[in-house]
Amino acid sequence: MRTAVVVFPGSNCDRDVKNAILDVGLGPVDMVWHDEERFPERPDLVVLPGGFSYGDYLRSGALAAKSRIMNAVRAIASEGGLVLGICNGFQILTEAGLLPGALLPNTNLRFICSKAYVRVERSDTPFTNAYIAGQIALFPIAHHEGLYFLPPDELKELECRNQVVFRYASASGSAEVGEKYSPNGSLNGIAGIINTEGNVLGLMPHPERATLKCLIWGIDGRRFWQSVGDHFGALGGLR
Amino acid sequence: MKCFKADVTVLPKDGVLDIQGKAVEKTLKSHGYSEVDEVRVGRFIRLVIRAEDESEAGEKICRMADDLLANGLIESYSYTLEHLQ
Repeated sequence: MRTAVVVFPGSNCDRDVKNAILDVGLGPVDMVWHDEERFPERPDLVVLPGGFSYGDYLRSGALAAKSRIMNAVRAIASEGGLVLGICNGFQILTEAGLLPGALLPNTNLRFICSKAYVRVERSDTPFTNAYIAGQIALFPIAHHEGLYFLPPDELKELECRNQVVFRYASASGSAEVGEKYSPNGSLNGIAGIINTEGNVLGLMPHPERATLKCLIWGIDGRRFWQSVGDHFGALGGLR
Repeated sequence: MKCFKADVTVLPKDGVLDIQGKAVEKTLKSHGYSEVDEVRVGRFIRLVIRAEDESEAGEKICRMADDLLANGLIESYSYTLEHLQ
């Protein structure tokens, strides 16, 4: 399974993603500069990592969404390849029109660096097949613009089409979810969504920061990468 | 070719939660400005562009705003043009 991690000026989770993927036994991982026209080799998975691309100038993700490499990312997505946006990567995907919606400033107007409980709403996606639907996972979050927004009618459609993959859950770790558990005010407690085709996923929490066994907030993110590995049959029972 | 100064104002659309606007509104009110009914916080962008005439300049500004300067899902924009001598 070949992964390409796109590096934008201001990305800061690019190497965390690479380390997480290598740690679960999946490789190789190519680090690809945003100004490249194409990927060195066709990746099975493209990751747009977290960080502050272009210093969040104009709007988070807006300038990165216009990067040269995004044409290649768009092509991979339209051919059915997997595209994943984490945090700033999620913001980039919405700005690029690869996912619906927008990420607005958190309701408390503060940068939130914390742990978050999320409920995995679907286990039938390439990114979550190693989880059980309804399971609670603990992921770190770190963002200033994480309030997922869609106008009411479109939000209803998104829910009807079952595109919500991760939803913020009660801090007690119970399976209760909803807007009141959004640390950032996210509508319907949305923490991550997938496109209708099921190959482009964006989420604000950081599974790559909950993958290495030496980290403090658990390893609930391992199954995220294992899901992708399983999807490509790349793990061969390694899990 | 003429030169134009374009002042583009981008604001959160009605119905889109404007947390900054709300915070500024609350602070103004708490400082005694009880006459304040609403505050919206947006973005101001000034461009200098070349175009044949004012209408072409307007079209170009709209294209840039739709393409990048504003996110049509959550923001609306308006602009003024000034011909630079």
